[in-house]
Amino acid sequence: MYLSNMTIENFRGISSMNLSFKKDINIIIGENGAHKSTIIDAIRLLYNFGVPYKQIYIKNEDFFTNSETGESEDIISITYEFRGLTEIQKGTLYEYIIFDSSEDYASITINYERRQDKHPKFNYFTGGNPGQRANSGTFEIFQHYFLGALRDSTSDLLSPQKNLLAKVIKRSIDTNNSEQEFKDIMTNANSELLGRDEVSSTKENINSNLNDMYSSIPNIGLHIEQSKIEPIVNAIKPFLPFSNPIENNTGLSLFQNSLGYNNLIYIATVLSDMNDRVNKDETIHHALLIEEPEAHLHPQLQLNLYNFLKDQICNDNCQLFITSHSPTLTSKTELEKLFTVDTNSFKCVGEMFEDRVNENLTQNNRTMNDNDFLSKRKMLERYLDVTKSQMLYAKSLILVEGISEELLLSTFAEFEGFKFEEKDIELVQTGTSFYPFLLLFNSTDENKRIAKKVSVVTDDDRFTDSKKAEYSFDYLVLDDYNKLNELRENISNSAISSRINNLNSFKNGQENIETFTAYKTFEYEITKSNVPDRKEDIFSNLIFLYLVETQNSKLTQIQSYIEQCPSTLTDIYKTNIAMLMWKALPSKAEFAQDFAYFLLQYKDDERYNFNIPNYIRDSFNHLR
Amino acid sequence: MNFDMNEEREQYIYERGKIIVNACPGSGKTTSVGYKLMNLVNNWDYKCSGIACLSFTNVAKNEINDKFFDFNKASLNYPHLISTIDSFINRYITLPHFKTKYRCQGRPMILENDSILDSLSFQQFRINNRPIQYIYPPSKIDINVDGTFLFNGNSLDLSDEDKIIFDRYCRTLKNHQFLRGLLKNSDSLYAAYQILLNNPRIANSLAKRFKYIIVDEAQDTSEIQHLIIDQLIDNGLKNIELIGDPYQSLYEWRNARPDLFLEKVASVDWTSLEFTRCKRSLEPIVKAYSLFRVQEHNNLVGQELRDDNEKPIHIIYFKNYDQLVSKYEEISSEYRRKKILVRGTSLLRELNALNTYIDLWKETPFSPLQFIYAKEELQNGDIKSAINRLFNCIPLLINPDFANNVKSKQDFIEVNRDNHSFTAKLLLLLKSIPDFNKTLTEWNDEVKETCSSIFELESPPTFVLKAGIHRPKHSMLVSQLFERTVNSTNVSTIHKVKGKTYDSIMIVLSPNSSGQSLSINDFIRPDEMPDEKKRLLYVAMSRPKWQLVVAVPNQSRLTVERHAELFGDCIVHEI
Repeated sequence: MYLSNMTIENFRGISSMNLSFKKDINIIIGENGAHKSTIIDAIRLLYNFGVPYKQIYIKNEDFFTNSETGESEDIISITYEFRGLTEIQKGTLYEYIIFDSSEDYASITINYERRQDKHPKFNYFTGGNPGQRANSGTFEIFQHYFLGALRDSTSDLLSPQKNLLAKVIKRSIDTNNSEQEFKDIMTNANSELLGRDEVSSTKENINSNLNDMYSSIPNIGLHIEQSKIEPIVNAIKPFLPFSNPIENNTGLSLFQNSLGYNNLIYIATVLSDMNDRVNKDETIHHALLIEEPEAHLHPQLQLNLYNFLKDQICNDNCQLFITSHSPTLTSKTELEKLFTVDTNSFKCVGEMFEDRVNENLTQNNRTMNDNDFLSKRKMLERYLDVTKSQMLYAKSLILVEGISEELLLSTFAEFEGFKFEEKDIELVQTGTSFYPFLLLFNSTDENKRIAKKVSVVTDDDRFTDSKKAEYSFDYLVLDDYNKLNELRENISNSAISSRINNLNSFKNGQENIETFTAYKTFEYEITKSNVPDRKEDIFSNLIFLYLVETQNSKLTQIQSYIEQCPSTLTDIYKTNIAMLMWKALPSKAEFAQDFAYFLLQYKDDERYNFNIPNYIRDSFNHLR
Repeated sequence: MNFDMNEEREQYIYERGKIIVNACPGSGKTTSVGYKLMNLVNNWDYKCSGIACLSFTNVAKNEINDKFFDFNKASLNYPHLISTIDSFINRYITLPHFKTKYRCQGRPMILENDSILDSLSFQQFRINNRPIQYIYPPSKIDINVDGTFLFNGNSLDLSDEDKIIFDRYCRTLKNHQFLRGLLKNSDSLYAAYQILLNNPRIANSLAKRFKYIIVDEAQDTSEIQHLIIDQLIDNGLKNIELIGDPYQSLYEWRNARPDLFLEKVASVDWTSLEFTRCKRSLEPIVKAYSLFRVQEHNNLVGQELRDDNEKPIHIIYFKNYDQLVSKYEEISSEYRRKKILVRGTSLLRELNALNTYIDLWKETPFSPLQFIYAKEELQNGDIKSAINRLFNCIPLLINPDFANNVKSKQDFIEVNRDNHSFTAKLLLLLKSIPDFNKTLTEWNDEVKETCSSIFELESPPTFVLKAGIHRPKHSMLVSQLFERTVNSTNVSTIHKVKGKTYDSIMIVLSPNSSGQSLSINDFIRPDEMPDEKKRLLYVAMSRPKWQLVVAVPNQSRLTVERHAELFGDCIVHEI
């Protein structure tokens, strides 16, 4: 059995949200304030009933408040649905079951009513009809462990009230029916202790003093106060043995240990308890809720922990819920187990690739079928490394293909007066293909797309023959710039790459996605945007100065071309100058890296000017 | 509390599986059930699957609860359940799963008062140009197991033509009811059976929720209840016990089917057990009521006489009813717990023991007679019934539209069940009902005043007294008009004493057996399962521990031989 669906209404920042979960692992990601903890607390509210002491309460402040009018709602309502019930669980949860033609499932709705000057009033119903209530004894089926974001694992492990280890040992003693043996061990140890001369002589001294005071006063005896099993097991505490101890069972106290390792010890103890209980009682459902496991753990340890948890959550009655901001975790998780939250939506990233054949998306003139979508999902899973995973936490994205754009765009942004991270914009270099990424955002079905604005920045790649040797810089300046003029004509007369049409059709009519194309290429656009109308202005432009500063070998030839141009440049001259500068640039990566550095040096220097290509500016504006 | 073990009981306590127990009166049926329940519960291994112990009436249910408490010193809790069979079926089958089988708006509800259905209109169905809903009121129409329709529990013998109209009327009525979720209890049972047939997974899960079901008073189980139990068995219920005495079946009017109980007794699928030791009554009394068992069941054993001269059976021949009660008082003077048992209202009236009052109000919107009953209930310490009574009336004052809209009235009651201030007002009203030492007119005016001030009504309620021949009563004292007679507490119908034990009982017979009356002519050993009249006598005569008095009208006097045959050595009185 597992928690398959949850509906939250008017709980804290969530006005209304439907959630579906996977039966084993659910990793919930999202920006801060996206209500991840609210979701975890909503789950906890139900599981809270299964424990004797409440760990979470509903207060009047927990009712959804409209941020515009300031009015609060009066009813918090949360519905939980469980699926995959065994026959025994169906009997156990009989009053929860909704017998449905497709699959029988269990349902419980809890609600809280806000009241003036009083605690909210709690109510619940099970099954499909308000008014029907299973006995509250059934709540014991819902067991959980919660490791909050602000947890103190050390004291949870060591404090006598929460002593988890003792609980696990005690349960094991109950199952083995070995309580008496434990007591016997203590009794034997006690009598040995009490038999010592030091103890018995002290006792005799006291008694003789007592007798001297008043002869008829009764004598005292001595014993060790431990007749119950709880204090005995409570005295058992974890510690870290020395590697080469002089004495047995000595070592460091957990307080001397790192917080991160204590977290691991705590989780290990919890899992041992959880698996123990689920195996012993086939009706129980156990939820393990961990907020931000990355807290206190370095990236490799995060992954080890995650892999361990993945192996441990193998029982049908255990379910894991994790909230995380860790791109490390995200990058290693199957998309199916990854969920994004924003204000009123909760979506499984993996499901963005499911059941979308009806949208008739085409690629390479072929309509995509289910397998095409799934293979795109696999591709995306492979592409998503730690850096790219950050896109899932951002508000909006710029997708670029190449390293040049990746290196230069953030510099351009600074020229525009902002930083990507301030605006929660993530720049993602997609490598070979935009398509797997776009599928996350381009569905016509609102439930199958992540609501983020996306700018796709690419080249229109017209006239790819420009790469041929005949158009290399040295040939362009020969024969009175004959080849230069030919290249210009060819570029302007060539059709743009068919890729652009494909990309535009992949927008699938969604306004959140926009494609911004460079005339020819990114580098060409940079040079072209920076040839001014007045010839003299070119010498204060940063791209020209870059060539100067880097002592570009082609510089003299460019300068001699510029010299023979009229002082007011026509389009033909401008294009030719741009093409020469473009052809003079060093290799893509080298240029991007150097130029980014160069630009930042002179960013605020008023003597120089630099123009960001228009399509890049447009791509920024789309995200605003 | 001690449990007096004997061979028959021991066999029952340790038997598991499908068990049917034929238990004679006074054999400690409920005690045995309570004891077995304690044994089962204390060795119960399942945390979330329990034992359901079902009885026919609330009284019987409470008795099992009490017995269990006596043995266990704690109440029975989750996952176990003690309930009536009807509310079990309503709560675990019909109410939660109605929609798996029927289209219905909202959650269905089981009507407390079927007559509410009579306000629905089905004028279009006519026989001889008369709307048949007045001949066959909706509240009296039930669905039979086979889907045919019953009026007052019986199939109608109609002409083919009329039958078509009647069936169409019934079908429309039931569709209307089911769509709105307004169910009579019988509808709920029918629906529950259909739900289980339609979706065996429900039966399967329910049989896991309750792995052990005990049905007490199983002789009163109806055909459809039997079928529901059979469905549970077919879907995995392993442990089921039916315990009852077919001779004590008094609920034929509620479709009790003792014959089906006996069918299971005879079936090889069931382990059939017998309780033949009556621990309540002296042997001669047991012998006397054993007359009504068929010869092969004439095997009951009673308690030994306390001394050889003891004669527990008395016959009173009476000419009229005048001295009958005082004569009985005289004979039974040494006993404390005693009852006079009769059949039918006419005899109750003769013995001055009628329990209901004549309603002196026109019913707008309900009769203040309810306040009189409520005050009586309050005085008898039954505050719960009194409040319940008011809960059903007062909404009609607050919103007169409730009279025509059952569902919204029920909803109102439902909503206000937990409304403490509303309950507080009802309590205040209950305490403020005027004393009865006023004239009817005064009392009536005062009641109106009280109601409108407590519930802040815009205008006082229209409680209108009946005029005409009733006018002289208007100036009489309420305490005179509504006075309980002394006998009303000592005289009772047989149905009411079912399951109870008394020291002494007097049964008052009629001269002949016409209609509902019981007479000495009914005292014949049956060849097969006796009819309900004989079963009534059987129940009545099996109540007393020490003394059984039979009052016979003088005109149907028995011969000496018949005397001896029927009652053995008994004492005869004449008045």
